[in-house]
Amino acid sequence: MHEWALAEAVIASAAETARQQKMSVVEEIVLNIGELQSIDAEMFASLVKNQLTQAEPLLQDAEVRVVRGEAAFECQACKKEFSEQDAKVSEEEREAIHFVPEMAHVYMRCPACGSPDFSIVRGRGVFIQEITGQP
Amino acid sequence: MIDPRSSVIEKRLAGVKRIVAVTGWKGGIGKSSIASVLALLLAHKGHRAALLDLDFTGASDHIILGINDAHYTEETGLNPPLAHGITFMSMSFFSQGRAVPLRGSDVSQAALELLAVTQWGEQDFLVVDMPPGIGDASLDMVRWIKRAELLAVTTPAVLSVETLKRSLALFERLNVPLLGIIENLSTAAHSPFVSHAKFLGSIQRDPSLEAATGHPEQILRTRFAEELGKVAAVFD
Repeated sequence: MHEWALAEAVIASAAETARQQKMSVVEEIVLNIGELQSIDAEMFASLVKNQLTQAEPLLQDAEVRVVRGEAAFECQACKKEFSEQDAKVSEEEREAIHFVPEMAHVYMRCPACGSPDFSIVRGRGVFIQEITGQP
Repeated sequence: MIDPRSSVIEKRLAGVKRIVAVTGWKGGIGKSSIASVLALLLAHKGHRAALLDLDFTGASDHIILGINDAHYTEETGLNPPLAHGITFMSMSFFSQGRAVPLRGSDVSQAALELLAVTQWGEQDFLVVDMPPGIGDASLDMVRWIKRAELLAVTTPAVLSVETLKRSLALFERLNVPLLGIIENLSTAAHSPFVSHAKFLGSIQRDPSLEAATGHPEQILRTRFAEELGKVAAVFD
């Protein structure tokens, strides 16, 4: 599953951030999983936890907590704000969006005016929301 | 919020010996043809060659090379398919032949996603068909793909030449190494860049390339491929 690659990115990024913030040990990594990418949040948290066991020592005992981020869009043409549910997509289209969330612009339309020219305001994909630890 | 994806790009490209970013900063100059046929020539010479089409809004490398049925597989990331000897990744795999209406920042985001999850494996060359222009996406690409060497494409047209001059100066300031300059669609004997230290050569306009589009074996027999092959000797 391609989520493995994103989990690896989370580990690498968390290590970079911890070093920048001069942490000696990371206690918790909070992940924000955006709705648009349709990643199973619990499964992704497990992937990250499994990879943490192989990570460098300052990360190995970190807890992983997941926050789900609701997706929201704003039409550039008519300024309507809408949700993922408002813009109906098929399962096949959802899979393309799963791999590359910007494919939303290919398959989704503003429910008010039909424009594909919208911005993804929030809930795009995987982010590290917070890292806490000890100096 | 921290976007973790750029942290893993170098690791994804660790098995790639050389990264050639084919760019030209002007539309209609044959950038995608150069990138696609260069990858084809490198593969034909026995190199492990990969091609990444980052020209998302006008993706055409799959059309040039006739890559119709290949598809990525999913393991610890996305494994690009091998097509005509080229390991190939493109947004065309996800857009199902539809237009891809992305603003500049969205192009960057989509490219970052592909760079973060594509498992290239061991490659001698990765040819990157760069986003057109010098906007967000081009600037982000040279920031994220740190080992990229620019292969700049121009034509004899004054607008193309002037754009290239300005763009080369910009990318020099960004410390992006220039591999060379190719003049495509050449009609004159002397390119304005012929005295440039990195000028690699000219490729004549070749009408047979259009007929060969989608047929790699035919492409390899065109004058375009023959002349690009001479220019590409720089890779040997």
